[in-house]
Amino acid sequence: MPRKKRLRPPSPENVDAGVQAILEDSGLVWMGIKHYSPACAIHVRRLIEERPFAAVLIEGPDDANELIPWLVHEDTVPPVTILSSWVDKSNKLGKNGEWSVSKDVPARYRGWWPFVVHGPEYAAVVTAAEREVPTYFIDASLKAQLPTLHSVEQRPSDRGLAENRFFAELATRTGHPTFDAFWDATFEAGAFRTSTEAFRKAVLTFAWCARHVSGAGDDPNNALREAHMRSWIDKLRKTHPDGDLLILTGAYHSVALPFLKGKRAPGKPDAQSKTLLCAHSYRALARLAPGSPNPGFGEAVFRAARNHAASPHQEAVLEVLVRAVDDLRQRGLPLGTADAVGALQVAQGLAHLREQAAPTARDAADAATSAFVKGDVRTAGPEVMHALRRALRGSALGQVAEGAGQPPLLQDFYLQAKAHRLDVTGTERMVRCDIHKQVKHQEKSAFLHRCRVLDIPCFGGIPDTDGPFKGPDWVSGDDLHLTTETWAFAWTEEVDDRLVELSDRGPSIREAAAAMLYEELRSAGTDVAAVADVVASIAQVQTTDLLPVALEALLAAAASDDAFEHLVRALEQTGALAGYLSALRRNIEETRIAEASDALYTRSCLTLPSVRNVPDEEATTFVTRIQSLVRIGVTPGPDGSPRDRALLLDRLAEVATTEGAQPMVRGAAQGLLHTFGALSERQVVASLQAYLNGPTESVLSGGAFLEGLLRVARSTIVTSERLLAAVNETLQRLDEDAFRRVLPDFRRAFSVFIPAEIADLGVRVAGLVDPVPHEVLVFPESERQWAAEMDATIHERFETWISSCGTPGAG
Amino acid sequence: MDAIRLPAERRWADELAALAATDDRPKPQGWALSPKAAWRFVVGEDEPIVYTDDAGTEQTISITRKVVGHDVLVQRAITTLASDRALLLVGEPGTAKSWLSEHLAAAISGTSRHTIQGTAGLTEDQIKYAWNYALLLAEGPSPRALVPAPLYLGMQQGALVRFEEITRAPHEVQDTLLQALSEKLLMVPELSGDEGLVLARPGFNVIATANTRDRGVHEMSAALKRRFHFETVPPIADLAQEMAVVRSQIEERTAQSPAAAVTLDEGVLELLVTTFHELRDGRTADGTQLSRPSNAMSTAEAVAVGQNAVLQAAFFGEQVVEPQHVVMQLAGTVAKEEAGEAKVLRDYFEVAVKPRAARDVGLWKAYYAARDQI
Repeated sequence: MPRKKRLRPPSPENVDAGVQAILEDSGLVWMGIKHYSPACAIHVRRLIEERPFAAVLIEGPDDANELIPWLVHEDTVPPVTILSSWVDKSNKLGKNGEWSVSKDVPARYRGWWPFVVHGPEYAAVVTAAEREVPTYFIDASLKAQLPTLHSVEQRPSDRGLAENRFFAELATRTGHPTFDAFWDATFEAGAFRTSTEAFRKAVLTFAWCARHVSGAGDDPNNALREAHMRSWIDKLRKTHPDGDLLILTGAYHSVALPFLKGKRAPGKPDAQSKTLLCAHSYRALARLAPGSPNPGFGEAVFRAARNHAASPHQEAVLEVLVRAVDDLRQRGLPLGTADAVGALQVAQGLAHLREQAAPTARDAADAATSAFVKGDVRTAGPEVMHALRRALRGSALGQVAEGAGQPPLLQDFYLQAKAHRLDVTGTERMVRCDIHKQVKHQEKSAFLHRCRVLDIPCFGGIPDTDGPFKGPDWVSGDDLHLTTETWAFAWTEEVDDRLVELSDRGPSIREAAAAMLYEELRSAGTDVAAVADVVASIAQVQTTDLLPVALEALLAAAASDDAFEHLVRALEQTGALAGYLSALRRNIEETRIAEASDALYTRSCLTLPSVRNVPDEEATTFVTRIQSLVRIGVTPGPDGSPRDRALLLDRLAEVATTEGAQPMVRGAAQGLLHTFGALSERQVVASLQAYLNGPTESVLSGGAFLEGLLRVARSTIVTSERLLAAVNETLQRLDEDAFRRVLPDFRRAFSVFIPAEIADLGVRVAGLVDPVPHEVLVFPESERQWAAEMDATIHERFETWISSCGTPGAG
Repeated sequence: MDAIRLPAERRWADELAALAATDDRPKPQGWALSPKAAWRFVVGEDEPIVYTDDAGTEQTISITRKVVGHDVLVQRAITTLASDRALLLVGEPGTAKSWLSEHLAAAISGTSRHTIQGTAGLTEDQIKYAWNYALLLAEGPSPRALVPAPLYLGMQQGALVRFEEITRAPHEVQDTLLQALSEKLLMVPELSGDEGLVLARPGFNVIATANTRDRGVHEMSAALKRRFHFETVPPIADLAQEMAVVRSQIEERTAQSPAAAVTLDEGVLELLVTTFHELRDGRTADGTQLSRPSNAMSTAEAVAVGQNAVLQAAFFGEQVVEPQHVVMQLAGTVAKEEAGEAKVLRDYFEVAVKPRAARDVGLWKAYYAARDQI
């Protein structure tokens, strides 16, 4: 195992010399930043306002340069994001099947470059535009980065700093739990009292140490991007020879770029590439962007700083604490303004104790724990922490100027919502679709099912159900008797975020849903039940052009999946599918569906004997599956042709005659064969007696056998005198201990009967126990008279006693 | 001094003096140390302090760690005490809440003695003030006849008042604190003029403790809750840290006794602390579920079991603590609520100890062999 290289502390002279060289670079002003940092944003703004620059160069994808005018457009409101995507349809990178569910599902690559009002990149773009300074994105495009990517997602991050060994050691020594906490305490909290030059130098010094102490590593993506950025810098230096260039990149790059040689990364955008400017939200940002867990707090700091607040961080902490108190009060917690003030005091005190210039988000969280949690933190703490996280995250929604172009998927969603008269204001509405009568309702139903498949957060909940939908569900098999669908449609602010995420799956909701289902189909692999579920989904969302390939997959899975329960489930699904398409009057793929149903039936019959060895705890489930198979076996297939009943009976007989088979399953098989007339009552009773005449363990199995038998053939067996006699004889023969052991199984077996049947059985068993009917007792006349006199006397005495109780003064 | 136990301010007088002498950070009014120095006193530090004592001699002293594993909690607690809110430490019994409260009071006010012990029989006069009845009868109400209780003294002197097990005290008695905490004053209606009014001096505040097992005995009123910031003190999560705490406490408690020379092997200590750790968590280190005893299985109780095992080894053994000594002391701790709970311990030996004994890991075999002692 290679030994870990020991960290060597940098010599202060070397650090100073290195940083000084960067600061004195002629014509190039290096501004190392941390993404989403309000302090960096303020200093970037100051820098551009205070110094004339020939151009501003920013770490952003160079194929998005055309979007800069839209980014600074007055109608564009951050948070917004540049979204690049590329779909590897021809598997050029060879990752299909590795980074996608199968070889024939293309890997989808995406890159996000979010812009927030408090981020240095956005501050640079906007301030440069105000000063009419040309701005350029200089980073390699997603397409150019593809060969060196580590995953299908690419986002700006400070990984170089955050995952650095130098930092890890520094954070431990300074008592900070995370890189963000360290950064906030060290660079953010005091940034507004520092000059821009001092701040710039401090950040570069830190980044220099982080990069040069523990090494830059050999990340090819990093190397490619830095060489590409350097080539842009060299090129633009020639384009703007008369002035300084401001170069704004992650600090980790800023300390390396001055010393690198440029090399343009190959790979130009092609037909599979898309780069768009999209609206974003803080909710999505906090979820998706590393390094930006608290965008709401960052914005509050930036806003306060722009308003020249004496302590922007203190203002922001107060703002989030008040927001959290409001939130918690609405949820019924007895908190008030005094609690927010108390929490602010604690946050300030903590900042002081931790030797920070101002309180940070970490101090706000600690203060809220102290001040708002009134009880044991393990039970009362989570609600408070969720409220505080919501307050720190904020709820801003971005907007892109009209004309900048939205992802077509987003446009399609709203066009369709409008066409189907769905409310997208956020109010929850119940939407009904009469899918059997109206074509328009079928289309609306398909749209809603597609949204559900795509997991678009535009649904509420229907009372007494688990989800947003009540109606015939052909995937789960629930409520198939219903003729209308009811949907709880409730647009939320997260809809756009999800649509942006999905935008590389297709330009329309229909195509995106089809792509998603195709992926699910490939994920299902050879699990025929899972494939059948996807086939049912395909029919339900009405992307029927996928049906041929899905049915082919179903046939292939049916041929290779040996699991009886999977095959029967798929068989049921296929039957339901045929019925559903027929109900919608969509007579498509009928032959293939019939072919699949036939294949599934045959395979189910062939694998039926495997149920002989099922574990006891699963026997009930398998009996139900066998019943399903038999039910299907006695009805014609989707094309009207009869099923091969002989095959079914043959395989049932295999189960029925195997003595070592799981007894409940064997009992069910015998019951079914008896129903078909393929097994006589005498044979069934003989099997039962074989169990019941054995030792106690065998009698126990007899209970399970009887249960299986009664579950499938109750009405036939109930009339069997032989069977009843066999059971009765066994129970009479057992000693008390054995009887107690077998009682639960027998009781369960007989629980299939309704009370009237139980009563009837009782009379018949009574006949077996005591064949002589009871005679009516006849008493002599004298005794009857004596009894009548006694009755009269007792009646009289009671009357007297009751009347005396009602008299005042009576005892 | 010949005492079983000294209060924190006397026991750590040297450390407090060193911190005070080198404390160059601003102090809240009425505080003996700055918040940072108070924090350093509680959580300790690696670098020794060099300072000049009152006699002008240069001294070097290390600040020992008093509380393990809760550095951020201690920061929040100190910060709360510097605000106008009081502090309530809640948690399972034996999680060092009182210990923390005592050391915070010692560091911040220089005294931990203004202490009210919450009990079902606690009365208002044990919190605020009582009267010397002989003087009262002889002279009528006068400051001379008044006998100040901890709250009175804390307000008068500008010091922290400790209220131990506050939820064991009846509601009406708890609410005695309301006026003191919100208006920072205490009325003595029997006395007239300024003598009947105690205005709290800067530095006054309250640290209360409550254990979560007593929740509901006398739940605090909403009004009183609002005047407190709550801090939950959890058990020590790290096994190694808990072992270190248990060892140091046992050594400290047996230092002046014949048991001081007894050897407590690290392996035996691991058996003891692992047992407490796993029974408290309700599962073994490898995730096997265990029954939990109704007792909290706190670190404090682990120390008590360890101490008894050491004493047993000293008085009846060969001056070396054996696994069987630990087993013999365990049953009384686990089955405190009812004798039937010894079954929990027996189950633990079957579920958790037996497999380790079978693998012959460390001293687990000897530990398992001693299970008949339960």
